[in-house]
Amino acid sequence: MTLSRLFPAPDASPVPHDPATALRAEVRAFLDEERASGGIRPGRQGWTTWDRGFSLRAAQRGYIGMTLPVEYGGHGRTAWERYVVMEEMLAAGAPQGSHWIADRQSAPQILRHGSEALRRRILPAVARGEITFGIGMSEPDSGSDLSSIRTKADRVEGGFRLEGRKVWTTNAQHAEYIICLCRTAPRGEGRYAGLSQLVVPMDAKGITVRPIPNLAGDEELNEITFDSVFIPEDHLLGQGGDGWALVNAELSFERSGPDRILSSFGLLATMARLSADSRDPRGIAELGGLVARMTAIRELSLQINALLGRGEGVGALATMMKDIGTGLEQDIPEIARRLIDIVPALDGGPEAATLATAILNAPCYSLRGGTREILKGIIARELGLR
Amino acid sequence: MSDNARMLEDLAERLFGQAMADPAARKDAELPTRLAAMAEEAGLPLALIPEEEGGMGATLEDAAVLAWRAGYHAAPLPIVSLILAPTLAGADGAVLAAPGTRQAEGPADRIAVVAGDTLAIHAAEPAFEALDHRPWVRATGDALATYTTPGLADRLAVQGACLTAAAMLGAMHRVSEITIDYANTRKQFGRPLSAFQALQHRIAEAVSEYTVAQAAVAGAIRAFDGGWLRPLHWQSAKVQSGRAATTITAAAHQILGAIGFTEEHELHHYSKRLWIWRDSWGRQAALEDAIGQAAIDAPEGLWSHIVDSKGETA
Repeated sequence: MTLSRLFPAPDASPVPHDPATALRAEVRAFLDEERASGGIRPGRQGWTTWDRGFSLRAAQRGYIGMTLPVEYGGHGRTAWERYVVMEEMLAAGAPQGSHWIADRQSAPQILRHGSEALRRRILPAVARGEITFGIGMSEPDSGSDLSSIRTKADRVEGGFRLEGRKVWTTNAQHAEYIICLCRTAPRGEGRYAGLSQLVVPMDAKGITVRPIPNLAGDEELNEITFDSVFIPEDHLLGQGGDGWALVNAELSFERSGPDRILSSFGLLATMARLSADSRDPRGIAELGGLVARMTAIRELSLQINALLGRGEGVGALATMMKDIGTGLEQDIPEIARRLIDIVPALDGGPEAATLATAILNAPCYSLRGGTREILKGIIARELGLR
Repeated sequence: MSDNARMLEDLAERLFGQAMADPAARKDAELPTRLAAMAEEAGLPLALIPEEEGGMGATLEDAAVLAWRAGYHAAPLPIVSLILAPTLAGADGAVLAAPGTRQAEGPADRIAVVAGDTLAIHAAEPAFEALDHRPWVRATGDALATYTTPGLADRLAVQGACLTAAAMLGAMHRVSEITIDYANTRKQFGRPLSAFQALQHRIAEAVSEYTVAQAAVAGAIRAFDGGWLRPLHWQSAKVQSGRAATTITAAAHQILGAIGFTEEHELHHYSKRLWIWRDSWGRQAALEDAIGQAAIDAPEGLWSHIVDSKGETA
């Protein structure tokens, strides 16, 4: 049984208190400019909304690839500074889809496990905001049961030949690259052996992409078909055959960030504004419950971020945070619709659109990055229950 | 963990761990009185007294270790009052009521009642038996003495909520252990309960809520000691502790089944105290109201209210 002890923590060193006031002010000034120029449409966008222009402007301010080393075009900033910028952007509802996945997981994955050639080619372009990455994990017959994937990469001279299909890949139609989990050796005794991750250039011959509208009518998800696609040798991450370990490391970047708390923040802020006008005691009480919860979960997220920043393991903490955080993101529209007497409508006024966006996007929060059920299974194993 | 915290943890573990090691000890009606006397003798009430006044000069984080251990062993004594009352001139020998209330866990002849800047000592009379069968007392008659200290109620509200939440973490830790052990040991349909996915998920959810509470309480207590605590932090920590207590006791009782619903199993000592603590030293619903009110009154909007430190806003 491993029960995490965050408090009292026998050997935790204190995290220095840094409100990051100057950095927050700088990011807020940028976000104000974006709102004024129409770059941000509050309540109608999320962190998956693709807007290359926004990403290029954010990159000019140094907000992408913040923790990447300077020699790879990054900014050598701390994990905390990146966290501050991320949460400010999320709270503002900025459209970060063009750089989000590259910045959050693909670039760190390439930095750790990619060839030197790949690092030099890709990381500086990520930090310039010029590159969109997709996550090539799910397949038509493999969702939560990820190790059952069938997309395969056979060895050929100078690299691999990729064959198969990926699906529900966010922003693949805009992506320059995806990191594709594929089978490089037949499935034998161990279901996790023989998997590898390849960095696939989306302009390679033999790739077709079909956008799939989501519940909000946005074409963000895609199906990708690989028909005999050649992938050069140096696009392999890791040693080959260690893809299962790599994909799990990649998923850990996905699970503890502020994007798992703040997806519905615009609606929460709307509730606060409307309650300030109405002074409805029930609205104030419900708002208080949600703000308390957000504050508490954010505290866990901050402490995980500090542990990761010090290179310490976080066990199941990130998994717990994602599960509870996405639960809050889904509770917010449910509570809001009972308090706000407004018909949700994507083409309505700001409040109606914010409510509609939150309701229509809520189901995906407990799916992407590991379903709630998979997460609970991981937590149970950590607790010694499996 | 500081040296002070380590010392207090040893002290508390010797005190509560040994006294509560024998399950039969709880049947002894004299246990609470004996425990309180032992705590006094061990110097527990000196924790928050400054060193220059002969105390230990512990931080709130250090002292919270005492509350955590008391919670972990469900020790039958008013741990928050034991730690805080000695910090008040004139409250010697009295139990301390949470600010704004006139009752507290006893037994006691005297009760210290706090309102605003004023501490009033009253005679105490029996009030009721709490969920865990412990006797509570209430203030009666005119004040026997009053003392004025600026900011008293605010200070005690924060410390009391944080210490109560720390005790709740200790109790939740023990409930997690009991539940996981039971799920791994008890067999039905030829398999341990822990083999059933529905129960795995129920426990995972409960421990996750407890983990969020740990982070929130740790953050609030460190912010208090560091001098940058805002009401949102400690109020949220106490609210989350209450929410986690509800989730974890419900899961534990569901998984322990009928035996957990009897006094023959130790679980009830922990669940009852958690149910009481949810609404002691900061009623969960009242704190949610306060958080909501502050959120709509925030001049710079909700986001700034959540993330910016007071006085440090750009």
